[in-house]
Formats: sequence, C-alpha cells, structure tokens
Amino acid sequence: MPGVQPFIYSIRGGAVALALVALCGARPAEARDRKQIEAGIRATYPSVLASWAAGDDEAAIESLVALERDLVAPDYETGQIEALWRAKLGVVRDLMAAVGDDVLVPVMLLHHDAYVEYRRLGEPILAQHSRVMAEELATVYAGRKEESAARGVAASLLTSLGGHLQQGWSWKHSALLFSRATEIYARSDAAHLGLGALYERRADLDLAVQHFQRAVEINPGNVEARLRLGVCLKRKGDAAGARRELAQLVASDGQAWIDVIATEELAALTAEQGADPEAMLREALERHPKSSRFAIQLARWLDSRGRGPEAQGLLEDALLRREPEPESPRYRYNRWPSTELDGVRTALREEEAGRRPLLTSAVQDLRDQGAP
Amino acid sequence: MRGRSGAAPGLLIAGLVLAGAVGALQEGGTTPPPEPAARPEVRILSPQSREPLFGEVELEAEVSGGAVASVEFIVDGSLVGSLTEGPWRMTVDVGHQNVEHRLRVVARMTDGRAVEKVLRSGTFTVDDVLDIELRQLYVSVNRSGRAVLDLEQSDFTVLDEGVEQRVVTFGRGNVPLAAVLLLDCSESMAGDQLQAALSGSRVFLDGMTALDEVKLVLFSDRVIRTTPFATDTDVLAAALDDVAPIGGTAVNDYLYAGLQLLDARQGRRVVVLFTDGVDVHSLLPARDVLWKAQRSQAVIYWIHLRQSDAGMDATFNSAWRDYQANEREFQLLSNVVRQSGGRIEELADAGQLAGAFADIIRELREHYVLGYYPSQVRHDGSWHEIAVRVDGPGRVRTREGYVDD
Repeated sequence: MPGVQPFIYSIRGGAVALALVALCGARPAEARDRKQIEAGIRATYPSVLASWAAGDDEAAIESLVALERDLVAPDYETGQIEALWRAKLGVVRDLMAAVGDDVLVPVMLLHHDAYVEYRRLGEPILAQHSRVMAEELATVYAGRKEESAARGVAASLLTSLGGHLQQGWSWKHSALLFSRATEIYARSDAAHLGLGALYERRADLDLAVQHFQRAVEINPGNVEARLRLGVCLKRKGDAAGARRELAQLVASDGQAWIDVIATEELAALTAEQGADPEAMLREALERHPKSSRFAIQLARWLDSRGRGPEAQGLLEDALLRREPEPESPRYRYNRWPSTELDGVRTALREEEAGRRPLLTSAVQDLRDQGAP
Repeated sequence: MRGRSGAAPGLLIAGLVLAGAVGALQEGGTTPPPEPAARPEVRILSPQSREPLFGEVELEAEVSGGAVASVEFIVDGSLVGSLTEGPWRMTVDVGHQNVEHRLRVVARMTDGRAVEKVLRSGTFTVDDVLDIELRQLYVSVNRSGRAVLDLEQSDFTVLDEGVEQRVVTFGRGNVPLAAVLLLDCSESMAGDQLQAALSGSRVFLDGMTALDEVKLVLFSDRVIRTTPFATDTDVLAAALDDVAPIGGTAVNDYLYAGLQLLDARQGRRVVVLFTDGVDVHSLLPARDVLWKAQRSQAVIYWIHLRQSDAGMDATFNSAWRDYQANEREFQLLSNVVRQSGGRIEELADAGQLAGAFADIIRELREHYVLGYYPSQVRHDGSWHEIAVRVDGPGRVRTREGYVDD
C-alpha cells in the first residue's frame, strides 16, 4: 500500500509526543489501556468527523478535545498517545478506502484546528499530537497525489502550521515545516516568506534575500515579501536593490503599513546617500497623518539642515495629537508575517470545503459497515 | 552668517532692521456691520499682527456676540491654554527664536457655536549677527558620596578646549527646569512595573517648583499620551491616570523628539527617560540621538529597569537588527547619556523606581549652573571638550563637550 511508509513516519512523529510525556514523568493512576483507547476512538471519532463534514466546526473540535482528553488525560502516557495515533489512523485508512485520498483534506484541517485549540487551552502534548497528525496527513496526501493543486493544498497546510509555530517562537520546527512545504510545492510564496523571515531574524541576510526573492518571483503581488526583501537589501548595503524594491511599494494601493515602512526606509536611504527626502516625507505625512514617526524623521532631516524651529513646530504638532496613535508598522514588522498566512488559510479552507461531502460520504460508509 | 537652532539665551551683536512691526493690523478684515441677531466674534487684542515675539508674551482676546463657554489659545499648532472665564488673557513663553509664530484663538459659545481668529507674528530682519551662544553647564559635585552644596562661583574653573573660560552666570538648583519626562509604557511594563513607574513620575512632579515646566510623553512604539509643557502639577499628574501598556519600545525616536523640543525652552533643560527594555522599533539609530545630544544643552537621565536575561535575549533578536547591532545601539545610547552630563540609574526591581525619580529631582536641585560664552567659536562642527574643576577634592560631573556648529 503506497501510504504505509508515511504512516510509519506518523507514528515516529507520535513518538516525539511520547518523549515529552516521558520527560513529564507522569504516572497513571488508572490509565486507559490501548484497547480502551482504540474502542473509544472507534466509537466516537466518526461522529466527530461527521460534525466536521456537516460544517459544525465548533462542535467537532469541542467533541474531539473532550474525547482525546477523556482517553489520555491526565496521564498522557507514551502508550496512550501511541494508541490514540494508531486508532485514528485506522479510521482514516478506512475513510480513504471508502472514498479516496481527497478525504484526507478535511481530516487534516480538523487536526490543524484542533492543534490551534489545544494551544489555546494550554495542552502541549495533545497540541503536538494534533499538529504532527495534521502534518503527516498532509505529507501522505502530497505523496499520493501528482496534481499541482493537491500538492499546493498540502503545502498550504504545512505553511499554516509553520506560521503558528513561528508565532510561538519554535523556530526550528517552523523552518522544517516551511521547508517541507516548499519541497512539496515549490511555488509556495508564503512558505518562502516564512523561511525568509526566520533567516532575517537570525541576521542570515543572504538566505533571507534568497527566499524573499523567490517569494516575489512566484507572486509579484506578495508585498510583504517585497518589503522584507527591500529592507534586507538595505541592511546588506545593496542600496540600488533596496531602492528598486522599496520604491515599488511607496504610495501603492496596498496595505498602509507596507507603505509606511517602505517610505521610512526609502527616505532614510535617500538621506544616507546625501539626497533630500523632504518632499517624500511631506507626502507621506499627508498620506499617514496619524504617524508621529514621519514627523520625527522629517524633523531630524530639517534639524540637520539648520531648520530647528520648523522641526520643533512639526514635533509639537505631532506629539500633541489628541487621537490615539495606531500600532506602529515597525512594531508589526518585528513580529512574524501574518497577512500572507491569513490568505493561505482562507484559500486552504475554500479548498477543504469542497471536499467535505467526501468526508460525509466516507463516514456514512463506515457507519453502514457497523461503525457508531 | 547663519542662524541657529536651539534658542538659548544668546548674545546678539546686531544691526537690526525692524521690518515686521509695521502695519499692525489684525488679519481677517474690518469689523462687520451690526446684524439683527448677535453674531459671535473674537478679536485678538495682544499681540499685534506682524509683531515679532520673543520670550514671555501676553495673549489677550475679546469675545462679543454671546455667552462664552471657553477660549482656547493655540500657538504654532499647540494648545497652550484654555480659559473658561474672562478676562481672556494669559502669558506664554514662545522661546527666543527669531521666527514667525501663528496664534489661533478659538472662542466656544455656550450655544455650541465657535469662532476663531488667527494672527501671525513678524520677525526681525537682521543684516549682521555675531551669534555666540551662552553655554550652560549643569554641574554636580560630590565628596565621599555626598553632594557638596556650598561652593561659590570662584571655586569653579571651566575649560573649553583646554582654555579657561570666564563664567558669566552662576546659579544653584533654584534655576527653573524645563523637563521632558519620557515614560516607556510598552507591553513589557504590564502590571506592577507600570504602576511603579507612574508613581515614580508623580514623585518627580511633586518635586517641581512653581517655575519648573514639564512635558510628559508616554510612549511605546507609538505616542500613547502627551501633555504640553506645563507648570501645573495637577494637570500633569492627571495624564498619568488610566494608562494601559501597549506595543514595543522606540526609545531613540522619542528621545530625539524630546531633545528637539527642549531646544526652544528656557532654563535648565532636562530629559528624564524611563524604560525597561531595549529599543528595537525606532526609526532613528542611536547615532542620530548622539548627533542631537551633542548639539543640545539638555542633560539626560536614564532610569533603566533591567529585564531578566532570558527576556533580554529574545528582545535583542529583532527583525531590524542582529544581536550585536542591538548591543551597539544600547552602548551608544549609554554614551549619549554620559556625554550629556547625566547618568544611568540601573534598577533590578520596580520597587526602586520611586526612589530613583526622587534622587534625580533632588540631584537637579543640587546642580550648580554655570554659564559662559565660549572664547573660541568657529561654527565648524568641531567637538569642544569641556572640563570643570573645583578647588579642593571632589568628583565633578557635567557634560563632556558639545559640537560647535
């Protein structure tokens, strides 16, 4: 069976969770055994999948969390987690046998969302279990499908998980997932953006530039990748390259925060090169009147030209503004990319929604064969 | 000969051609003919249109045509006062720059209507200026860890580029302060730390005297709240209420802004900066703050509440700069503070904050203020090293020098 190897892989992934359990050193009082867990999954997991297939996402996640906690908490024993794996994979195998590989898409997204929920609940072991399950189902799906679109779906799921890990500062795992996404689907600009941001944060600017450039080649409309490319080129001392990228983003119709940073960086570059950024900054102040930073940057320029009183007037006005200032784009930039990932997740959900009827049909098939 | 920013009391040896103070007609035309229904009108009685303005200026307005709820005076875009009962008169310090000022008076009537009048001041046209700026040095003297408070002018020797200078003004801690209090209210300050910083700031405000003026700037990666320069401690303290921490920290940007704003103030200029973290969100690099500080007369105090090592490591790895670059920024900012004649108060515990603010206001009261006109002025951007000596033993701290441009 073509899917066997990846499933073994999955169990290896489960072992990571098991190791974590071992480190916690928890000892079961009345731990459920493998057979009980398998029976519990066989009895309830199909109804979780049915809820998900019916579009009742909240209820599906809630019942999955309740089921898994009931089966493995509070002990989270190695054997219990492994049993959970095996039991769920057994059900998934039956679903695939019933309707084909595409049923994996809604199931992987269910576990993706369960991962997010477990993180929210502060359940690290079940969060990791859900994430690795979603990852491995995506890898299996990509391995069994030749079509670019299908591989793109798997890559999107891995990219989304990579983004969650990035936000949680798990850099290594995040890098691994982004890399796997690009291996599965080379045209994933969001995964290249994620990888580039990781290298940028580590000040490995050559690799950062490579990934941002690739993201922009794949999708010229990926403005965050272009912005980060411009910023990294400036940091590398490639003024011409930075200017080329940043200039495309200034006063564009895209996202305001991208315009702000592109203009700030371009104005700084202009001043560093001995040219006059005043007009550029005044136009930017018109476009972004709430930004105290443009006022400060322009004041600094005026001050350096012996125009201190003008600078003071500008700052008095900017700092006494009554309205609260919004989050600064520089603060946003210093966090991880999120806008592109939101786009990836939206597209992923649209793809997945089209496959939910398959899951309905597969669960019905299981029930016809005697499942609850 | 060019003018200069940073309007300290200066020695102007000038042939002045008074150009602006003619035709002192108010802007806005003549008085309209009487109308059946009273129409509110505001007139600016003082100053006159196109009158050059320097230092403390009396602003006075007259409002007719209805019951007045309030009158606001706005100078160069900043609200400098709001009165709710007449006479509609107040005094404001516009600084000593020979620049045009824009005065706007807004009268709000009790029936909701509002009228306003705008007036522009004039400037002197100067055909020749020898501009020698008074250098003010704020000097603290310690012996055996205690401040020495009984020195006289004759006890001090001031060296500028190694050349002894004639001290022309001498004062002690009673010279009024113009202070910018910069408070980091970023997310990392959440909880007791922020409350301790706000309480410490109140301690600083409590130490103000009647002529001191303070501007509060509560910042993170953005401006959270600011006040105008004000002498009323109740007004200032009110700005410290109900502050919620948010965002990251951008020290360089707001420290630069604070120094720039102090250029136009009189008295002893001081920045008190409080922050708990490392700046990874500023647009301006620390070298720009150094550039400004070397041209400013302000002294900078930095109260730095240290984060844990783990937190520091995460903070230092930013998308903007690597660890080493952030470390260099931090060190450079430390140099800025030392060069200004101020000091860094490193704290490990928010419980020490009130004491740190109290120490600074006390130290400011213990400063000697020495003024001199540099004997070697070149305006060539060169660095002038300053040294101050006192008779007898003692540790002297003052700014290390300034840029002559």
